[in-house]
Amino acid sequence: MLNVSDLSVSFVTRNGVTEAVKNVSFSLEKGKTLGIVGESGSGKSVTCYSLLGLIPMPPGKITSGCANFFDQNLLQLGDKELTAIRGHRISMIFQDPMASLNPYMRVGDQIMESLRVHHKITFSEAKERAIQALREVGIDAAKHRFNSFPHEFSGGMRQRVMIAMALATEPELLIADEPTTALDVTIQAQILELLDEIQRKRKLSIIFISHDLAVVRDVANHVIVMKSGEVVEAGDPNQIFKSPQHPYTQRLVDAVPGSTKASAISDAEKNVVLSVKHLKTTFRFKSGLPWKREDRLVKAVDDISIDISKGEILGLVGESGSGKSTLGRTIMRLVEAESGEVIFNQTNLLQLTGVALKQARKEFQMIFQDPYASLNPRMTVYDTLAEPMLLHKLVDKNELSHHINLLMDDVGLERTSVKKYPHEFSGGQRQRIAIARALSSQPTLIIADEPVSALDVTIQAQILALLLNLSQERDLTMLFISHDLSVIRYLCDRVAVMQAGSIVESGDTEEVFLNPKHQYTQKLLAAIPGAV
Amino acid sequence: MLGFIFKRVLAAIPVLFLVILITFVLVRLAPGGPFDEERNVPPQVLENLNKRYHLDDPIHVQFFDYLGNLLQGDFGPSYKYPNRSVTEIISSGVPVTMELGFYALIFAVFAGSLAGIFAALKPNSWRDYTPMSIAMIGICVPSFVMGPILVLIFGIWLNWLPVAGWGYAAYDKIIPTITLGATYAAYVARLTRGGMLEVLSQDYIRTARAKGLPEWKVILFHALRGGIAPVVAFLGPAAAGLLSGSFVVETIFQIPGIGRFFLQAAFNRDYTMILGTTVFFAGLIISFNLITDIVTVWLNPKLRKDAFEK
Amino acid sequence: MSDSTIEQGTSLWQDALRRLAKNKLAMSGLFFLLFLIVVSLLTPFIAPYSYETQDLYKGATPPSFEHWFGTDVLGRDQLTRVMYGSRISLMVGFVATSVALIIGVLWGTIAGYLGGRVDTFMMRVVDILYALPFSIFIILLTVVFGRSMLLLFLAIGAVEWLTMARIIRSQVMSIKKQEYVESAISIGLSRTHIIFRYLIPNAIGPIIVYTTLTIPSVILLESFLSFLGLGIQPPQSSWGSLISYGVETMEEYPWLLIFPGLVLSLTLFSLNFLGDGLRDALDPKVSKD
Repeated sequence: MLNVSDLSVSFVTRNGVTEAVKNVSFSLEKGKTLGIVGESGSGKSVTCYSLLGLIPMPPGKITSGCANFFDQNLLQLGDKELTAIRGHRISMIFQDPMASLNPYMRVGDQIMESLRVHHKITFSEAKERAIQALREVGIDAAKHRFNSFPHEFSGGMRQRVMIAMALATEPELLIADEPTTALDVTIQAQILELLDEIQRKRKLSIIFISHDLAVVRDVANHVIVMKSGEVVEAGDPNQIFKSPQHPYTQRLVDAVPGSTKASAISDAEKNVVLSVKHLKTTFRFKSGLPWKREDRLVKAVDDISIDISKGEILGLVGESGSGKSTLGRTIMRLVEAESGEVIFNQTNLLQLTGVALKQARKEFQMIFQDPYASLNPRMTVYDTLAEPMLLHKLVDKNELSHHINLLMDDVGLERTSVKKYPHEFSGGQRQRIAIARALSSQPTLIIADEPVSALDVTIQAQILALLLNLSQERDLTMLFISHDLSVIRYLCDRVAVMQAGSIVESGDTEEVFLNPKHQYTQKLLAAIPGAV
Repeated sequence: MLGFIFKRVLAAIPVLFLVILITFVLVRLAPGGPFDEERNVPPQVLENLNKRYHLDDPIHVQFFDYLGNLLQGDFGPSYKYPNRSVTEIISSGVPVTMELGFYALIFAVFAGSLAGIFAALKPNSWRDYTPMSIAMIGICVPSFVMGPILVLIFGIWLNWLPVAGWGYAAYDKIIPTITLGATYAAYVARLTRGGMLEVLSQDYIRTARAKGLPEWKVILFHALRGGIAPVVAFLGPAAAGLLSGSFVVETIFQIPGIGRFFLQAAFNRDYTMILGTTVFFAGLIISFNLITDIVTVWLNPKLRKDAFEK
Repeated sequence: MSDSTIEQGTSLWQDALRRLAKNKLAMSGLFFLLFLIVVSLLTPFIAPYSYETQDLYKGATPPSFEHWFGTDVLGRDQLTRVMYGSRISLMVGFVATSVALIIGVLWGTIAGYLGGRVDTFMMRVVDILYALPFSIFIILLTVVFGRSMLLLFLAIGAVEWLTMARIIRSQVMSIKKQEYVESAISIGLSRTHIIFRYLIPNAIGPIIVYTTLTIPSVILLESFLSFLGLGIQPPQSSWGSLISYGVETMEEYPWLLIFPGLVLSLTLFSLNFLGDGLRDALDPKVSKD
C-alpha cells in the first residue's frame, strides 16, 4: 500500500546544504508494522514528515524519489490533495503528548475537529464518534472526559487521547513517531499493547519510529535501520537483532545493555560505607487562602533505609515521581531531610553544617542527568576541573595541569581540549567532563542520577562502560539512579526498587531480575521491551 | 474562579488605599498653602479660607474626611475654580479622555495584531521586515514628535485633516487617535509576532497540520489563542500608558480631556484637583490591571483550573 | 607539555561579540551612540556658537552653511542648542538608568537568591509599586518638591528599577535551579564563590540587554516631562523642551521641531537596535547550535 523509493531530502542551513535523508526506500503492506530505528539526527523522523509535506519548505527540499500510497504519489500532490489525506487516510502520533495536544482546547473538540474536517457529518454525529473513539482507547467515563483539557490527563492517558484523535477518522496508515519515549516503562507496555490490539482489529498499517531497538523488535514485522540519513540495514527484526550485518547495527545491538556483571563482593567482605536509616523527605506545597491554609504534603522519601558497601554499585530503580532523585539529593544534602540518618564513614551527614559540611563534601560527589545543564557554561573545562582540586587543596599548584591531564585521559577526552568551553562539546563528551569533575575531588562515593538517560544509545553504552571501568579502578562506591532496568542490570551489584517514596524490594541484581518477589517489580520487569 | 476574583479584588484595595494615603500626604507636604500665590491676602481672609476648606484640622482628620467623601464620589472643591467641584471637572473630562483612549486602544490592538500575525507567517522575509520596521518607527518616534509632524504634513502642508480639536470638525479625531495609539500598536505588533512565532513552533501546531486542517484553520483555531496571550497581558499596562500619553495628545491637540485639566492643575498648584485626578487615575489603572489579570487566567485552561481550586 | 597543541576555546562572550559584530543595524546603532557621546562630551569645546548668544536682528532662519540646523526666533544657533540638549538628555538617561540598575540588581538578586518569605515580601512591594500610576506620580513629585534635576534622576530611577528587579530575580531563580549550581554546592564551594563565579556571569547577559533597553525609555520619560514643561527648566534645555518649543512655532519654522525630534528618534533607534542585537547575540538558545 505504501511504496517509498529513492527518497532524498535536504535542508539549507547557514553552513550550506545538509542532506537529511539520502535515497531511502521501503515498502509497507496492509496490516503490517514497519519499524524505523536510528539515533537522534539519523533522519528517521524527517523521512516520515516529508511524506506528508510536514517539513518546513524552505529550508527543506525533497530532492528526489517517489512515495506511492495506493495509486497516488504523495510527493507530487498539491496542498489541497495532501491535506485531504493527512489525518484522514494517514494519521500521526508524536512523542510528547502534552506538547502535541492543544492546551487551550478540550480534548473532545480536538478529536471532533479532525472528524469534521474530513467527513461530512453533523455536530452530534461527530460528538458521538469522538466519544466512541475515546472509549476504544480505554478511557473510562468517555462522555465526561470528552470535556476535559489535556493537562487534566496523566501522560499515558494523554497518549491514548492522541491515539483516539489519530484513529477517529479511520485511517489506513498510522505514523507513530517515538510514541512511548516520554512514558514510564509500565505505561509504555500498555500503550504498545493498545496499538497492537487496534492494529489487529482494524487491519491498520503502522510506521513505528523509535530510537529503541528493543521496542521496535517487539512491535515491527520489518525494520530499517537509519544512520546519517541513510538506510544501513533492513530486514526481519529478530534476524537483525541476532546477527546484525552493518557495523553500526552491531554497535546498536551491543549497546543494549544485556550482559550481566558478576557480583564481585562476597558477604564476608562487606564493609558498609553508606548507611541510610529511616530517611524521610517531605515537600510542602502552599495552597488555600491565607486564613485557611490547605497545604499539601508530598512524602517524596518515606522512611527509607539502605546500606551500600565499599566498592559496591547499588542500583536504585523506579518510575518518574517515585522519589528516587529526591533520595539521591537528600543524601547529597542538596535537599533538606525531615528526619532519619545518613551515616557515611561513621559520620551522620545530616548533622554537619557550615565548614564541616563543605569539607566532608570532598568525599561524595554527584553526576547529574542533563549534561547540557550540569556544567557552568562560562567556565572552561580546565577551570571546572581545577576548582574542586584547589578548593580542597588536593594538589600542588604547579602540578595542577598535570593532574587535569591525567583526569582527561581517564575519562577519554583529548588533553588538547582543556581550554574549551562546555558548549563546544557534544552531549556524550559533556557527560565525560561531568564525570571528570565529580572525580576531581577524589571522592569515595558517587551518586549518579540518571547519568545516561539523556544520551543516544551508542553513547550511552560508552559512558556506562567508562563508569564501570572507573568504579573498579578507583574502588568507588556508587549509588546509581535510573528508570532503565537494563542499564541497572548491566552495571549494578545490587538493586533497590522504589515506588511512591518507599523501597518495595531490594537484593542482588540477578536475584531480583530472575526472581522478583514484589508485584510492582514483576510488573516493571514484564514491561521491559524484549522481555518475553 | 469567583474566589480567585474576590481574592484579587481584595488585594487591590490596600494598594488603592496606599496610593490615596501617599498622594494625600505628599500634597499636604508641599511647601506653601494653596492660597500663598494670591498676593497680599489679609491674614483674616486666609484664615477664613483655611477654615472653609478645613485646612486647620489635624492631618489625619482631614485624611479620613477626604476618604469618607471619596466613598460618596465627592472629590472635594477645586481651589482654583471655587464654583466648580473636582468631581464636576473630572466628570466633564472623563468621557473625552475615555473616547480618545478607547479609539487609540482599538487602533493599537487591531493594527498591531494584524501586522504581528502577518509578520509571523513568513518570518525573515520582506513580509516580516516591512511591518516590523514600521513598528520600530512607532516605538522610536515619541508621540510628542509624531503628533506635531502628522499635523505638519496632513494638517498644514496637505491640508487634508484638521490640526486640532475633538468633535468640532469632520475627521478631527483621526490624527490624535493615531498619535496616541501608534506606540502601543507597535508594541502589540512585536508581542503578537513573538507570541505567534513561539506558538507556531509548538508540537501541537504540527499535530493540527498532521490532522489535515487547512493552514488558515491552523492559524485561526490553534495558533492565535496562545499567540495573542502576551498581548492580553499587555493590555493593562497599555491602558495605563494610554492615560499618561493622553496628557501629551490632549495638550498638542487642545482636547478638553481630563489629562489637560490635570496638567493645568499641576501648573496652578491646585491641590485638591491634583489629588482628585491622581486618585481617579490610580483607581482606573488598578482596575485595568485587575481585569487584565483575570482575563489572562480565564483564557488559559490550566491557570483557570488552578484558580478554581484556590 | 607544550602549550602549542592546546586548542583555545571560544567563550560564550566571544561568541556573542562575533555575532553582534555581524549585526549591521546594531553596529550602526553603536557607532551613532559613540559619536553622540563624544560630541556631547566635547560640546563646550566644539560647539560652533555659544549657548546663549542671541542675534535678534537675524531672528529665525532656515538651515544654512553658517547654521546647519537653522536658528530660533531669538537668533540662537539651533545646532548648538541641540548639542547642549543632548548633554542633558544623555546624562539623565545614563544616570537614572544607573540608579535603576543598582537598586534593581540588588533587590532582584537578594529576593531571588534568598527566596522564601523574604522573596514573597520583596516581590509584593514591587507588585504594589507596579500598580501605581507612575508618570502621574512623577508629575506630582515635581509639583510638590519643585522641578530639580536631582528629583528627576531619583524619580525616573525609582520607576525603572521595578522591571529590572523582576528580570534579575527570575534570572537568579532559574540559574539557582540549574544543575551546575547544585554541582557547585556539592563540591563544597562557598556562597560568595558561587555568586561570583556561577550566578553573576550567567545572569549578566540579560542585565546588559535590559540596561540597554532601559536607557531609551528613561530618555523618553525625561523628554516627555520636559515637553510638558515639568522636567528640565530654562535656561537649560533637553531634547524634550526643545521639541516643545519647536511645536509652538512649527507652522513658520518647522526646522526647530524637526532637528531635535530627529536626533531624539535616532538615539532611540540606535539604543533599541543595539539592545535587540545584544539580545540576539547573547540568547543561549541561538548559541546552542
